[in-house]
Amino acid sequence: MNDKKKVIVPIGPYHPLLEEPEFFALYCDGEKVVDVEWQAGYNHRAIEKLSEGKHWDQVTFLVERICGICSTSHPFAYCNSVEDLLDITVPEKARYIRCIIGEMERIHSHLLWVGLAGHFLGYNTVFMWAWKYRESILEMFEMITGNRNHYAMFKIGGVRRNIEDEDIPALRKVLKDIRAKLEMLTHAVLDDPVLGARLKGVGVLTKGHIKDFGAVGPVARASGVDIDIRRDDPYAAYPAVEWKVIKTENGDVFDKAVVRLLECMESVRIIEQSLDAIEGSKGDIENQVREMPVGEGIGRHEAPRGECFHYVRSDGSNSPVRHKIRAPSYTNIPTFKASCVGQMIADVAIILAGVDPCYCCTERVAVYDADKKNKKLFGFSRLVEMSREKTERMRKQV
Amino acid sequence: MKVLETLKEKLGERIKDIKIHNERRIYLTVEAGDIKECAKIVFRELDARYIIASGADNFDSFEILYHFGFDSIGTVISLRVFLARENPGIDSLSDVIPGISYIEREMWELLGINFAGHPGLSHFLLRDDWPEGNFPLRKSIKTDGANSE
Amino acid sequence: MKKPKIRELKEAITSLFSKPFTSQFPFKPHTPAKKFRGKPEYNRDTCVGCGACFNVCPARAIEMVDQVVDGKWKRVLIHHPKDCLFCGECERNCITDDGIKLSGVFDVSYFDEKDVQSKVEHDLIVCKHCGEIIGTEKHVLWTLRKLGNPAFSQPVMISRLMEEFGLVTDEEEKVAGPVQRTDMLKIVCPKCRRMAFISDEKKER
Repeated sequence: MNDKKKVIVPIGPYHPLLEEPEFFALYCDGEKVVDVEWQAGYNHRAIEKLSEGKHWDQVTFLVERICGICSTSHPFAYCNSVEDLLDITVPEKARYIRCIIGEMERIHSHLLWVGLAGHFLGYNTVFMWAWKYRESILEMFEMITGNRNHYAMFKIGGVRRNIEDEDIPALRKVLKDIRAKLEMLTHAVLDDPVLGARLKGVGVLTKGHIKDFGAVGPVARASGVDIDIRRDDPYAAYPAVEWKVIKTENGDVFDKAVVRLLECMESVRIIEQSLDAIEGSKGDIENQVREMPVGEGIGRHEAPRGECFHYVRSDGSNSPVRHKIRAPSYTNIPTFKASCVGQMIADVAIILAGVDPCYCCTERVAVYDADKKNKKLFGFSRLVEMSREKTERMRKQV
Repeated sequence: MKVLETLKEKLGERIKDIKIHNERRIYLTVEAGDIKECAKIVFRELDARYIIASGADNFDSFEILYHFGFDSIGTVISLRVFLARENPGIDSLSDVIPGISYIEREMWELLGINFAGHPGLSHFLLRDDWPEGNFPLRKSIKTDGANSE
Repeated sequence: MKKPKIRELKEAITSLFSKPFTSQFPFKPHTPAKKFRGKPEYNRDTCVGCGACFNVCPARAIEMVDQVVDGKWKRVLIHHPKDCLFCGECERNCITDDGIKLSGVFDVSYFDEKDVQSKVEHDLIVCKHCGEIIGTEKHVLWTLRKLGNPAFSQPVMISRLMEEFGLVTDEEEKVAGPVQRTDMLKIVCPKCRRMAFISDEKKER
């Protein structure tokens, strides 16, 4: 660091704008960001320790509550890990049902992200519309699973509830509507010149960065790294349906938005094919598990934000002896060190949002004065304002 | 399995034990002193993806598993090291894998394992004034369930 | 760029003139979906008090208390909505399939928790010799009925049935002193029954 006075901008930890508490300290030199420091732990709930005191079936409900947006990803990965330990397979109908729930969650999570990104940029209409389309998906969840969030559908060896044939027509109608809306949103994002100027080239992550930090999910696929657990390490019904992995090359925030929107379209395809497969089927939805042997298992799931990894170890008793949980944001959020450095302060809000941080174990961002550590310059609301002001400036130029 | 053969060839004598759970889950035990070399070979030479590291408290020793992913074949290779119960310590891998520094801080504060050469071992998840010597993930701290002693 | 604007304008006009998505709750009542997981409620008639719901609840929201009330042993099962996850494990594991069910009630705010708790109370059978709790009366009888005819091979069950039909009363005094073979028709708990077979005591009571 040279002699020039550095400014540190603190964002967080508790802020009404962000869903969960977290803390970043941005070290700024004038308008440019020089370094980023991430502090975590405001949301730490000791879930890995709690797992060791619950029965195998009770742990499913515990891990469901790690995150509200990607609520099904953790039970999915956990059930995969225990089924890997036991070396059992899940009945066919249950596999399709798991895919349906997982993909519907992907659509609703990406729509939430599109809304938030629009909000940070100043496009509040996008925010309102994206969340309005999301409501129909949440209603479908309530119809099938009984709740808009925390679906309680997963069980070791299968699923807990069936999707009845009488519910399928309503689901198909919602999917048809969502497909039309997603197409409109995708084209609106791709064609808009202001969005292009605002987001292209911002927050670029190279393949080297992705490898160093172990980033996964749309963040990695936007930079040209072709990884997707659904294709690489197949599980549930993914090998049985046709879909493709979306990958772009540039690694900036624009590409991340494109990857997420196009992934939603692929999810709609997967769900429609799965519904065709289970309609009229009378198969089992559960493979009963009576005993737990000694051993260890690893299970993964491609959550909306990336690879969710669970490692589980058993000593033959009723509870896990060690349960390691790695949410995708754990390796995605440190990429700020690479993507924020050299960028303008006004862009930090959208770069932050581009990684789609699910702060299940993380914090918020704050900007401090570099020399006087206690002098808080401005908080996150000011950063969002700066981001919107920049969008306005660019709109006038275009 | 091809990847297992390649690993056996590259890591050679360093592998102390191989456990093949199924063709996509392989666990290799290595000595704690060799971990840096092994990580360099697996991460840099063989171009695996770093997933995460998990620390565990076996009642008579500590264990760390470093998980790496070979995505073209969908396999997870886990390198297992055992550490002594008293003053557990191992080399930090932060200069080989930059992203691993966070999980090493977490293992340091929750299990009490020391990472030599880490750029800055400070509290990550727990608050800064957490009492010294209190390592929550160790088995000596009880949960109210089946697996506490 | 006229074309994209038309697309978005069309959407804007449609949403301007369509009904808002927000519902009118609480001014109009809200009916949740058929499968909605609301507050669990006990059914006093079909619950047998086995405690399976208490054992499986992931959040430990169900409390089971065995205590003496007015000289008789009673078991109380209380469900606390403040800890409940609304997961449905209690309903799924209930042995009678009807003892506790998730209703459609989603509004569980309260000033006094007793207003929203769901409670059920049962009589307990205890061993007349050692006082150990065997289970609730209803659970034992439910098991008997499930067994069908083989139930009658167990003499204690016969005496239990006789009590149910009112042919003998429950007001027998406690079996004091060492258990003898003549007490076998009264003693329910397996520990005391085993003692009677093993230790052949000839002491007078």
